[in-house]
Amino acid sequence: MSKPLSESVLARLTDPTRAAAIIGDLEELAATRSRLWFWTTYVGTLILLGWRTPVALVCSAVCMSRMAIALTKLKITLMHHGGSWIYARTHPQTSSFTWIFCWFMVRALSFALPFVLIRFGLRNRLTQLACALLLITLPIYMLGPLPGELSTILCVLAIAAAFLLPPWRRPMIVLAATCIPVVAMNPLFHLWFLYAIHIKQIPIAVFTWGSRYPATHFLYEMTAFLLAAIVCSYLYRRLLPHRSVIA
Amino acid sequence: MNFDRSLGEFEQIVLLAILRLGDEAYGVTILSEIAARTGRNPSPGALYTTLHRMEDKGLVTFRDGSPTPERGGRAKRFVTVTREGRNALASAQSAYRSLLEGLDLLPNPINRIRVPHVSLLRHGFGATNV
Repeated sequence: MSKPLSESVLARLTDPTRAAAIIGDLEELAATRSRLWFWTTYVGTLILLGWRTPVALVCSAVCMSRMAIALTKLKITLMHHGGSWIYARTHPQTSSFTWIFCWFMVRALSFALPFVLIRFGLRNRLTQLACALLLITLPIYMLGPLPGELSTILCVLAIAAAFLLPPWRRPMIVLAATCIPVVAMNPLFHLWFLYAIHIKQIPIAVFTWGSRYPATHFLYEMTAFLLAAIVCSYLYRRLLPHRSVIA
Repeated sequence: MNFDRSLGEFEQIVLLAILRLGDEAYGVTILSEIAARTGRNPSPGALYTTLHRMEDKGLVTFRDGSPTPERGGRAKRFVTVTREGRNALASAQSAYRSLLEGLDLLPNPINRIRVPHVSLLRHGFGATNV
């Protein structure tokens, strides 16, 4: 009855083998105690095993929104101080690519890095990879055109190397799959916005600040973050199994 | 001490309990051993998170036993300390011994000083086994 449900819920947080062993242990211990003890211990175990994912999700969402505000301010400051290269006036083709690529990378990694850091820890390859890519990408916001373009080339090379090298391939796949919902959110939201304004003829006043726009934007962002967290957790379990071998 | 293999206090207690239990180490027996030897009653959740973390670090491995009726037909999951786990434990213990050495606090520090896992150590388990 409730046993398979309790086990399947626990399996979502760990894996089926671990979950079965934990429930088995709790059943064995509960034989000399009570059902109340079983359920309170079960809930405690659920919390201890699962607290990282919701905390990581909230922290990374907050971090990304803070990062977006900080980078927007930095962009405006740079534009006012001769940072015209941001809009690709000097090297139209390359700089546009550089800017768009790095913007998406920073946006995605400012969510992914805190998430994997809290969820899996600093020693995990996934965290180390996200950290390295963010550090390579950040110079576009701080330095001139040449370092910015150099950081783009380095970032592309790092991604290619991660896909080619066996120890980093699976972490790179998980990281890429985590980043896709985050970066896809923004263009999808704007496409939907254009569709609503031009095709559905919804008055623009509906979407202005102070009306439904912030709520709609918030909903889109939360959906993307939740999707990214689910994809990350699922792929991590499937592609990056534990080091030990179960005999 | 190697940063990657540094052990927390509870990790050391769990590893020592596993080593003491030998082939019979699984969740229930580990909890009983810790309670009997240290007087602590850690929650099962704390034990599982520690075991899973140590598994990810390569300090312990698991093997499945046979299903038993008192466990609702579920198999026991026996734990074994790996060579890396033994090395990490030996390193941590030598750090404790080194800190205790030369301290003239009590006549026999290993029996009297309240090192958290000393009762797990003093009943036959020594550094030579690690």
